[in-house]
Amino acid sequence: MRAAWFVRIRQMETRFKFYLAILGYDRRDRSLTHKIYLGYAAVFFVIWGFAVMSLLASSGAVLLKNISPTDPSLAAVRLGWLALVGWGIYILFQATRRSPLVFSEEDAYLICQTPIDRRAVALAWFPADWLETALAFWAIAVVLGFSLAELRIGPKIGLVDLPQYVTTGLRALAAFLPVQLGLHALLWATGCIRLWRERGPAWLKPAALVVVGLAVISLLWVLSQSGFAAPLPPVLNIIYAPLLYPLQAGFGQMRILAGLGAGWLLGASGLVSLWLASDQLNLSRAAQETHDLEAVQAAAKSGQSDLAQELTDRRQLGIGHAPSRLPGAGGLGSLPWKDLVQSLRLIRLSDIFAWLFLAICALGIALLPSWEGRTLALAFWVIAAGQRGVSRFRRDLAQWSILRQLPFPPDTLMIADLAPAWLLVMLISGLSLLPWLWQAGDYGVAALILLPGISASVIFLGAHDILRQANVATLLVGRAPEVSARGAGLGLLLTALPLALIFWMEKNGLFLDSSLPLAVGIGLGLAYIAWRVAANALQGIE
Amino acid sequence: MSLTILSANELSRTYGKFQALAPTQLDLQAGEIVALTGPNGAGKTTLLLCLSGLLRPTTGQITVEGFDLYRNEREAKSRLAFVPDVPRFYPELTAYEHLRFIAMAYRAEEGFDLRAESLLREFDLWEARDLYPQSYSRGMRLKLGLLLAFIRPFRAILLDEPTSALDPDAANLVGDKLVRLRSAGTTVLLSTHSPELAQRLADRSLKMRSGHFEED
Repeated sequence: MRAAWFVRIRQMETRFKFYLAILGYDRRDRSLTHKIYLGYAAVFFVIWGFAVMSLLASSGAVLLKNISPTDPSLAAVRLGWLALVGWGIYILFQATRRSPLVFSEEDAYLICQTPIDRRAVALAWFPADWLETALAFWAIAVVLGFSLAELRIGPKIGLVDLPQYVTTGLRALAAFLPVQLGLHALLWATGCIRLWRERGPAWLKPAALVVVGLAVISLLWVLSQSGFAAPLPPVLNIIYAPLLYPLQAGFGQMRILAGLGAGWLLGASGLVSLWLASDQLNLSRAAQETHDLEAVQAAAKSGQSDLAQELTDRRQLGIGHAPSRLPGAGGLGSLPWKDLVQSLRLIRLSDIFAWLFLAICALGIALLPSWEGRTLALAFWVIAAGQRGVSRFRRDLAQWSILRQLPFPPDTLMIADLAPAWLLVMLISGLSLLPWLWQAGDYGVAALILLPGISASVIFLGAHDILRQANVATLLVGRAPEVSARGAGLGLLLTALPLALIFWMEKNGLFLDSSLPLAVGIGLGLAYIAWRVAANALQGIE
Repeated sequence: MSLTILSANELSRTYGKFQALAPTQLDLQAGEIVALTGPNGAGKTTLLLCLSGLLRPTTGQITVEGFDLYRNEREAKSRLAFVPDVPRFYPELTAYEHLRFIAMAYRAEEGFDLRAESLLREFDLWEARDLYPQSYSRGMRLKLGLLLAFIRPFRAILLDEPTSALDPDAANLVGDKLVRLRSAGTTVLLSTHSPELAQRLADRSLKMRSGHFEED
């Protein structure tokens, strides 16, 4: 029992020290000022957390009121239930595919090969994983609680209302805590049963899939109803009673003690189930299934996002693939061929979301009613276009010994490598800007005409920003810098210049017809300058 | 009369105040193998990186068959190949696709399939051609790095410790390949810590220490 806890506590200590180091706290420094600093940091984060949750609660109150005008607490219960069931479905599905216990390579050798008490390992590994997910649910609970308090107290909350405000949040938290604990422990128990001996029981996977299926159906049913907070049918009320009673108590629909009792009963049942299920846990299988994942998590937690991405990509790619049949052209045409093969081979969810974000920003420019909103959307579009446009170029730079040997001068290499991304940025942004054509013809046309020059400037400038920071030593080991804040700022400036010209000329009585060609010329001229500067930077990397 | 293929004139490289490579004059002739020897940190890799164009020198000029590496980049680079000691590859391309990409980039697609198969079989990578290089051992990756150079034409090849991760059979294979390249008039410059390899292959050796060439 002690060995497992000893190792795990040490691991948690190391992780905690890492977070303290990020805060600038050095445990070896025992001076009073340093201790005061730690206290200050703790108080700061408590106040900051309270402020953020209060801010979110204002929107939460509006949401609850809209969902259930007569009794917003019904909406709070339903939202809490939705969050727990949705998360439970995901975790249960995951538990049927891989071990919930995540072991590093060191753990695999030093713990999983020894005759250590399996129950002790499961219980020692559980708290950290639980805490990581629990924090999000605690925040949801407190925000929903604060939202209800806002609705009860009214729009003007004074200092005198603070105890009631805080108590309502804490009451919701007290209800969520045991429920989420029990649910998490039950899902871990399921994962442990799958890891019994060599294969685990044959009934587990079908049973889990049936549970997942039923949960999904019930969720979809609830979401499809016209009244989101309408009462559940009796059968669902019974099935979900262990979740619903504590939540109802937490949000003031029933007595707190009864609800908390039900919640802690679920919590205790979960922990007991985990204790029972982990007795025959096959730690070697758990280690085999998770040591790659642990490496990804460790890299991500220590801020090495590139390494984490590389490891994730490797897991997704597997070990091999049949040769691509895509036809390709020789010379510079080989670069788009390579890009296309790479893009089709590895479709990252993060890339899809990033392209979606670009489209949403462009849509915002087209559809937002105010010019202030449009300017903000444009700023986000510039940042997104810069990052998307150079994403493949960054990855190519990380293969420096291949890229720099290619028999192409830097200026043509830059165009060949960035052109596919530029075309995609134009296509996605252009399509998203189309509604503007119908809404306000002239401005929509101007935006579409300016798009090629502006997007090229932004992308070349992003490439220059990366090259400016890069050095050969890090590129040779596969690490390329990201677009910096300075690069984003310059991109915004370059975009603002032709647009400002149009507005200035229009304000001074000149029509769009006469100012547009000049703005397009300036946009293309800036793109040309950015291209030359980036090509020089590629040749001059130190 | 011997023909100079690769020439470096007053080539130097400094990092801040540290001089990794003192001003160097180097002329490599067609059909010769030159071994670059010396202790760790002597400047061998810096010299090879500068000569290959991967690292910009602080001073000096490099020409390949008379073409300046920076002013006539296309002509110079299509005549020059470099194999690093730890090659890196695109994660999403298999070994075979890497070869195809390089052949396409250098417009060496004619007879590609036959040449690729022949090279892959010769270096014992044929069975692993559809695997991603990330799943290769270090020795296999080094072999693939060599093949990326051998799949396309060149007049001079620079190799950074080309046998360091290879088993004896594979090391001999690389040695034989370099000898065949020499016979075909190709210039080879390789850095090595193996005196046997330098003695067996090289027509001449250049010993480096603290960024300078030493008299051998």
